[in-house]
Amino acid sequence: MKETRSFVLKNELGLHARAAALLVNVSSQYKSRIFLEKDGIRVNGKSILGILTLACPKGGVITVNAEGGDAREAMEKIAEIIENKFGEA
Amino acid sequence: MDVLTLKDLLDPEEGERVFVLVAGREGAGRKLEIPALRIYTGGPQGSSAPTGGGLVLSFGLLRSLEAPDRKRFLEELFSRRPEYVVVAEATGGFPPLLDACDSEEIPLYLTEMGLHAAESEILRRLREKFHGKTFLHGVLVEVSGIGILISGESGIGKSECALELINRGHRLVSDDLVHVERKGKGSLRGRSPERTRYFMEIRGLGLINVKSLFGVAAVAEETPIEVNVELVPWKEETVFDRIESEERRRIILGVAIPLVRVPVRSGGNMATIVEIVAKNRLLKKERERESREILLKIEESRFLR
Repeated sequence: MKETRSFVLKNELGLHARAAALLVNVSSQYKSRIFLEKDGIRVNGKSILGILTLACPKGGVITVNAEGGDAREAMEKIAEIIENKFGEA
Repeated sequence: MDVLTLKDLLDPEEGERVFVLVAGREGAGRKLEIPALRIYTGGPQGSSAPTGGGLVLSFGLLRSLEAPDRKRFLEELFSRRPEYVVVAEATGGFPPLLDACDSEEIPLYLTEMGLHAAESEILRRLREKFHGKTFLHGVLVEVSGIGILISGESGIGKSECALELINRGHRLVSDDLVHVERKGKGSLRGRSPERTRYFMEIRGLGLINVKSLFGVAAVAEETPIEVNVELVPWKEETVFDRIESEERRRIILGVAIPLVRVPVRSGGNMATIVEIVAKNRLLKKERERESREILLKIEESRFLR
């Protein structure tokens, strides 16, 4: 199964360290391979270093790819945390 | 590549056709002049919008246009002279645009990809094909002077293997994401993205700064990539090289480098294996250098006689 979705980051700080850590923790709970993509750079959604290099600011768009048996569940959970602005106020 | 055409840029990669040329075919063989890309979202483009380059827009936007707006829209679209137009989320054709592209000889491509996914895919290809640059997953280390890219799936132990190598006095270039650039015809150079330079992620420890922990000698800003060691899960049924067999190769940006696949077993010491790969490579280079010297000497002696 393959899922692809794009998200606009709405939280003030964009994809900063804490947000990236949260994303990695969520991605790592799933068996599917998860990739984040921005401006042609594709990084592993289960590794914090790659995500930090994307340097995605507020208003930036990232595309998430999930591939594997639990891709749909993974995508739903990732969508939830991005749309909840990573729990920021 | 000296001249990059649209065909080179948007043709299928690895057999996967994602961009379909539907109009303006005459223009597809033209040289690509400006490696820029714009997203058209419907608003006025403004005078700051660059001329030339590619243009991506969504099928939904096209469909939402009322007939009177179409003409104005198409005029505005072509006023900035795009070199090609890509319609994302395409579920059908859009005759007015097809006709306009045909008469202007501007190649029109359709893709099922979303707007941002299509933009990202084209940017990646531009980076690779126009600039000879790409990003690879893995850890790049310099072992006895040989740049080795350690690849393999997430969680297989690439970083842990690299950490052991650093502990033995070798150097870290980049963890997780490696910025690769083709130099000349046959060589690759790798370095780390600036933001995460000299950091590693070790499960259980989190992020560690290798330069502070091990000192400046334990890191290198960049290194040629000479060998790819791929860590693969150990499986009973997989057949691995038992004797030094034919050499596998991995093509990166059109450059072939040796690929060594190493099965990972608990208790095995990956760092030692990577060290041996580096030494083997050194030995091979040394042998090549020696034979070149011998040949040169023979040549010289012929002329001296």
